[in-house]
Amino acid sequence: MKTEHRPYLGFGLGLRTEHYEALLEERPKVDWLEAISENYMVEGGKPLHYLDRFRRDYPMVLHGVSLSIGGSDPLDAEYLDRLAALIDRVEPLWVSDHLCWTGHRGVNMHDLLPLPQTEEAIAHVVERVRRVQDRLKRQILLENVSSYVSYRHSAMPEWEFLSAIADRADCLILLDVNNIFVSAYNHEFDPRRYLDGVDPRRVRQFHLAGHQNNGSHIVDTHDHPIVDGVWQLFAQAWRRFGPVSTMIERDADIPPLAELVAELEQARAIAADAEAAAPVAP
Amino acid sequence: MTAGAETALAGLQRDFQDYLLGRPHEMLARVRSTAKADAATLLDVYGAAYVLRLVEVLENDFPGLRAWIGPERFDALARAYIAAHPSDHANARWFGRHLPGFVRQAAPWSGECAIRDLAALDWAVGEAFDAAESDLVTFADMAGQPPEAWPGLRFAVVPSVRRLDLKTNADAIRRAATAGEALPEIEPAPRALAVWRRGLETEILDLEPDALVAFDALAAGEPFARICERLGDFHPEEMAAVRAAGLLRAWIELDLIAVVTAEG
Repeated sequence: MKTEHRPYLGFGLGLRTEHYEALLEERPKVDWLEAISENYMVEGGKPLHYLDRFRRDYPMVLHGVSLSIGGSDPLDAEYLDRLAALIDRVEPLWVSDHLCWTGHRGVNMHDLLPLPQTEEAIAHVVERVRRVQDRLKRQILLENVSSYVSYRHSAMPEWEFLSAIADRADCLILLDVNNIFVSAYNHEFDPRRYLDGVDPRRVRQFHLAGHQNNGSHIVDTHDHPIVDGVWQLFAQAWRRFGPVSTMIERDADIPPLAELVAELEQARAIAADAEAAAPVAP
Repeated sequence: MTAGAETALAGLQRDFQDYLLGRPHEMLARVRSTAKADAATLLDVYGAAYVLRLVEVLENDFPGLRAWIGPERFDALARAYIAAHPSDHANARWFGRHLPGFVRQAAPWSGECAIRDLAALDWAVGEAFDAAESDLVTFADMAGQPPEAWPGLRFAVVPSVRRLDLKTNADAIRRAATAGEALPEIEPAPRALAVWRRGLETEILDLEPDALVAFDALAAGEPFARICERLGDFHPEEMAAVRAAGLLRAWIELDLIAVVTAEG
């Protein structure tokens, strides 16, 4: 297993078309970039032109939304071929997708739909992760998603579900701190228990993002600055997991790049404080 | 498990998807209510997002059409399309690919030339935007061809080329819409267009009747001599080859020609 020496990239941003020119002109303090795989699964033109250009200047990882690792349809061979070709082009530091399903019987919902936390689903996902890792010739990272419903027949907390899959499939984890916060609010569990339930050796990356609180539930909208509660959870995660490559996702109401760079500075400061306050466990 | 039997996981996914697609379902019995929200409210987060996400995809892919029919009619069209064509591709980039065909056939959209033209044009521009790269034929390549080779020369256009035959001035409407300018009146104005990408930018070329015949022949791989013959239908014999050479020169300059091959 290759998880003992965790590579650390620092503090990054999700690559968004709205920021292409500003990234080139302003050269802000952004340590690395995460590109959405599907946005670049095209033949040519601007998307690949800019992707190649940024890849020359930044460490880059690929983050997919359509793998449907928990789906019941057969794995999409054409999708995996295209992803493999993109990986060859980009040579990313790593590749991630979500612990979810996105469609059924050939129809795609283009959403990150939650899985039931059952032994059946664990076995199903583990077998598919192994096949994907064989096809891509690398470990993948699976990200915990925000969810709004929990199923009556779920048999374990989500952190046990995620951990069991990572252990049995020998894959890595992209821990989305905002998603833990959102799901904890929606399903009424203590988010610190989630952090405590995940093996630090499996965690390769953190996501941070903003959300929208509707009172009765929180929706993971990626259209707001990060809230205090998520920052606090991030500090706790940093204390537990140590330095983990961290990035901010913004997908709607995208502000000028400088605002996200300032938010990234906030992440750096919180991480530094967390590190100073509590020595990282071995 | 016998072949074809549905697993519990697959059954849940079928039911959840039926809910999202507005079909009969039993999802309410499968999910928990919380102290703050009942199961229906929580499920609706997914239900509302499903349609809104796909409407947004179509808004981005059909800017000319949306500007022409306005946000409200476009929203109705998008929802009708989403209901008729649930996404069958892993990448939302391709979700709208059936929309030009949909508006050709589905009332009330099919009755309006401008809607049909703008849907086809918007999608063609989107396809050209991220189509494959290729080499480009240069004037130096052509200068290197011996005179006796010219009649047998064949060409290929760049992979981003999309040919459209429209009945209206939809290209002018799209151009104004994407520039944020006032839209011109729609006019019945049959035209033949080539849409392609030049460098990183998409372009639209309006082909005159003789240029259209020559372009389609060239794109189909016909030899230069045959292209000249076809232009003989429009020009005196001695002028057809001059016109063919002029068109070829213009298209090379516009980065439309990817390949030249000599016969034999």
